[in-house]
Amino acid sequence: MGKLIVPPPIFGAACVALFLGLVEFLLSVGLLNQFVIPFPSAVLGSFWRLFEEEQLLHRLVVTGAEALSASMLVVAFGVGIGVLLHKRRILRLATEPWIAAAAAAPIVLAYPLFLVIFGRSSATIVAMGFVAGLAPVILKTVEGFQGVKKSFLNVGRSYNLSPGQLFWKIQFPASIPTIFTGIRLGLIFTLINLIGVEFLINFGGLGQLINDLAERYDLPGVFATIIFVILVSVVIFSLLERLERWLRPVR
Amino acid sequence: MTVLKGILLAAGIAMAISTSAAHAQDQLKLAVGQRGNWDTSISEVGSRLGIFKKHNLQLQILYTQGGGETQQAVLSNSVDIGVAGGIMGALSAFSKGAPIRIIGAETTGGQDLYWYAKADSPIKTLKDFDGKTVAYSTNGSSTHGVVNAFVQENGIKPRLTATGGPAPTLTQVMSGQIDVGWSAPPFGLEQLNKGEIRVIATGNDTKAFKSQTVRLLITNTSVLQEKKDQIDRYMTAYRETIEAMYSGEEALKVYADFVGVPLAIAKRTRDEFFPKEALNPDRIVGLDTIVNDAVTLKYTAQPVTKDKLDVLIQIPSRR
Repeated sequence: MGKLIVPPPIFGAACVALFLGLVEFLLSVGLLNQFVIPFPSAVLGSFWRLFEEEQLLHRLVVTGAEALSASMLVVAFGVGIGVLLHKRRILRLATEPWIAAAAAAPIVLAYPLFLVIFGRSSATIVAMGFVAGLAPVILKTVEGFQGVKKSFLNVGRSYNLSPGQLFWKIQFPASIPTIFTGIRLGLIFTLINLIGVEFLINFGGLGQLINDLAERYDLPGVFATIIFVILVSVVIFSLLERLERWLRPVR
Repeated sequence: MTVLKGILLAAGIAMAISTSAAHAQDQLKLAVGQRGNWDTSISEVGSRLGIFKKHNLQLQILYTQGGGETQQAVLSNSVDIGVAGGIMGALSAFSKGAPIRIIGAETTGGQDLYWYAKADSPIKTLKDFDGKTVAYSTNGSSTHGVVNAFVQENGIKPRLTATGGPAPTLTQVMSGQIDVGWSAPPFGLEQLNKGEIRVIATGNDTKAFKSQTVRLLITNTSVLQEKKDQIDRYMTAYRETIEAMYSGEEALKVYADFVGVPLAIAKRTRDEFFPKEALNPDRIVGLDTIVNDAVTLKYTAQPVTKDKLDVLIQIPSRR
């Protein structure tokens, strides 16, 4: 029996198209409320308008700059603190449960406090994104370094590697997959919180646009912007995967 | 055992009576924006005073964060009436064919929005805003509209700064990050009473906002058709509640209790910031300006015509 081979991306796109077609049909026959869910065709048709009238690209740059700043802070501080906790056992035992609790906390609820500290500015959004993304990176960095096989370290020591060489030649490369898992998780939290706070305080780029469009009752625009945010996230995380592969050429 | 049976029987009868009494009242679900404001508390106060019950209505009130959320609840038929929906949002939804109708004005004018400075600030009048940082909540909001009107009508050049809601704004004013803050009572009245801040201006100090309806009572077209009688009774009870809120202390006490503020603050909220006419639900005013502003601010693609406004605005007449 011959198998029908369909490339997964095409199959995925077909499923999405089928789903959108179904929603379009249900809306057109009135089974779904078009004043709550807009027609998918209207959503797709509103993209050009968002670029032309709502400066979608400029807003992407604003949110992108905030996301980049927060992400760099998350990676630098998250990995740095993770390494420190790995090296200082007492510090790790004392703080790890708190950091794990922070990772599960709805930090976005603290935005009024950040507003008071940083004002209604990009600094608040970056700070919220940074705080939200930090915990997973720290935890996974610690996990990565703790999980390096002893045999790897023994081989290094047998070659008389200095502590620095041991770190950069063995421990760090061996930890990269786990660290990147943490970074990926951290950046997801960062991005979610960043756009969420933009929405809540009606300031910044894409999150603010969603808020503005919702206030104007521009449902197709709202959904189109949300889809745009999802597409941007997909691009960011595929780039991150490539970066991980580049940093870890040999598996 | 006989005593126990008696108690159970009595309890059953009492329950049956109370259930049938509840069923005798028509239920209306309300989405109300901004819990605790004087204007948004009319339904709550009326319920607590028994005014809605007198009209055979039982209100189920849920509170939202603002106009957009309220309107969405109405359009999705999750509630029967939206209280304090924004007028621009209503025009936008209506122009796109959404099943929305206006059944009353909720607030007219901008007396309830005030701008203040720290007690020791040199800022005394609107003219002193020139060159200073002046707060508004968010872009496109009514506070944004008011500060823009301050600028245009007084020929001043302040640095307008979006500071969010009243609470973070107050903090920024008190910490010196912002020269002039904004608020809506009862928030900030405690600081006013203590003399920590001074009111410089209100929304009514602009010609543009003084005579504009800014918030509405809205409903879904289907609700208006299917529950016309209940909506009429709601509006009658709503008007009676407004009368009660301006005619004695009882409603003030109920409001103070509901919001959790001293009676003096509740009284100041009413007497200084909400003239009775501002809550008159029977007149939507300033539509000529509002309709044009809706186009400028991208809420509608074209001005909504008078004929269409007549379809949109269906305020039940006074009985």
